[in-house]
Amino acid sequence: MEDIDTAALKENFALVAGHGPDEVAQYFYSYLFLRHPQTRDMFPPAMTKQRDRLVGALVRIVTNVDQVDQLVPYLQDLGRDHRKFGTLTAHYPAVGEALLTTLRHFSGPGWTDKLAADWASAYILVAGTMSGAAEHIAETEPPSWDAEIIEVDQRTFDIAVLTVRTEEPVPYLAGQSVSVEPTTTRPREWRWYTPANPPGGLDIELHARLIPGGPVSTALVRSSTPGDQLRLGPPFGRMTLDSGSQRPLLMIAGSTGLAPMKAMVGQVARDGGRQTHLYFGARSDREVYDRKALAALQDWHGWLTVTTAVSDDTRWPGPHGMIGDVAAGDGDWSGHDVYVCGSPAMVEATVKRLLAQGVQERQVRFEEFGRA
Amino acid sequence: MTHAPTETAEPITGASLTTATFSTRGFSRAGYDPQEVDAFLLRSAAAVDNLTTRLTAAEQHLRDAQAEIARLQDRIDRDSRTDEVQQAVTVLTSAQITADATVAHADQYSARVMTEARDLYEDTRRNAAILEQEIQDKARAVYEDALLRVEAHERENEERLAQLALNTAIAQQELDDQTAYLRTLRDASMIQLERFLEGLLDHLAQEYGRAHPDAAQAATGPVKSTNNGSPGTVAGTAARRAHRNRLLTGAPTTASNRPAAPIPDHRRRNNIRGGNAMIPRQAPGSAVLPKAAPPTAT
Repeated sequence: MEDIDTAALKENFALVAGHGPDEVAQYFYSYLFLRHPQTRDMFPPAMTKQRDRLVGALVRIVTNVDQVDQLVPYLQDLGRDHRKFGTLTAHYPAVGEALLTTLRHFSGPGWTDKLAADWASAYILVAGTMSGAAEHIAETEPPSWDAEIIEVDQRTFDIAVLTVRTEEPVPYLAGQSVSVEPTTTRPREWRWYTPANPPGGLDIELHARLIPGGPVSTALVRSSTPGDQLRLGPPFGRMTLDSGSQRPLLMIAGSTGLAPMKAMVGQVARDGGRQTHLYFGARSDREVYDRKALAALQDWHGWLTVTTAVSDDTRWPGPHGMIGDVAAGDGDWSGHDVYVCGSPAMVEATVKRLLAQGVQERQVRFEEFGRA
Repeated sequence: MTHAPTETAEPITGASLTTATFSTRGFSRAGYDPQEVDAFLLRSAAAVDNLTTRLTAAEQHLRDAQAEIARLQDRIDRDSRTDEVQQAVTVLTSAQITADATVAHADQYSARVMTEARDLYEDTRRNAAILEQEIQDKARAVYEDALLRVEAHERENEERLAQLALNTAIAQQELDDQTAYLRTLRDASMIQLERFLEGLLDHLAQEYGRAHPDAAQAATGPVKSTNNGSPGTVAGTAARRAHRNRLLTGAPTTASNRPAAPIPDHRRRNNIRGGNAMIPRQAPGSAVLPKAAPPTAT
């Protein structure tokens, strides 16, 4: 990108974004759908979240435009993930045209031939990285996996455990997440879920908690029935087991953040077992939604200890309090590999507490299941 | 090769210019016929003028057309940026916003319903917990109250039982006292009766010696004198005393063989005034019987 004046691009992007990120995204998509109507089918009817995603991605790209080492892996992931939408290399020029037109539209008199040329060059690099990664992965991996709901186990009125069956095994690692589209009930809406069982089989266990107003979670928890079709996107995520480590494990899960922990416990069992302490936290007794499975796991695996704590239920006979505090108060974890998964607030509080107690940052891996 | 056209009917063309030939004059044949050349040049000049005029007009026309095209192109460009494309983008955007609003409305409704349901559920759960706690508290209170009552009842019963035992002991004591009294009375009466009878016998012996068995025996036997207090009389008295002593030692003179229960202080108001202590010691020979006063008759 030596020839590209990245400072000018950043300045111009700030100027454009000043018109309101949503306005800019609205113009972008309207122009794209007007000039290339066939692209409309790749998007859901409601575009609000899609616009947020576009703006988020653009901001990230423009912000990191000088840091190629960070930008390139992100763009490769983005390209790989975009295959599930049906994105082809042929679509990239259309998006580039819409993007440049949008930038020109909102730049007004500030738009110059030099800016146009620089944006065009930058876009060609970005699109080339994305489509290159997509084409590369296409040799080994489908754009998405079709799946069918086998069982919906409504554990509480807002938590369901689903068993879904794919035709081919999805090549995820225990702890990684896949995006899920309720093809039957809410097509073209996607949300991240983490398989709760180790990989290799055709059946995948998903723990879904209803987010009020969330199209995918509402569809999965309240509207799904066996036989419904789903599509699963390619797996992502860095919260996986360190196969080179023999240190004991500490896993701290809030609510459906339990899913990756169960998958990793299953993986640890396959690998021969490792001292593991799993802490599971819920708000009330009723939200301890997987107690049978946890009791069974503890019975089977001598190396596994499970502690369940409840934060807001006087009738709970076990430990009370926020799960991060309960775990942190139980001992010295500075020699453990630590995994944390839960709501953003839970993850933040837990990690902070552990670091304050002498756990090193590099020991801790975490994921927030609340992300969109 | 054609002969240079001299007639106006034939138009001058590029080809006619390059192939034009002129007739020669005289015997030398040195030079074209000037008339022919002049005529050709005149016609050529007219043709060039004509062409130049038309060319200029055409060029003007082209410029006009190009300007028009540029103007139109510019208008098209401007329209594409502003009017039609802008209109279309606006229409699409507003349609999308309407769709977004509709879906958002539905999602918001769903969110509100679910939030309300969850709140209701949580409230119900909390209320149930509170209710359960209250019921537990009440149950505990009832239980503790019942326990207290039972304990009170037990204490009361124990007290009653103790009272009953005490009453029984008192009754027994009274019975024993009565028994002792009656025995003492019996013994005392017996002694008094015996003394009375002895006195009577003594009297009889003194007064009517013959009536005394010993005296009677002495009267009929070797001893004659019985009138003046014979030894027989003394011996007879000793025998009677021995007999009386046998009587006295043969029967118990104490109240009872059983140990007497101590009399509690509060029972002393019903004092039976001791056992033997109340028996009046009668002077020997007295014929007065002690009153058999019942314990409560005082």
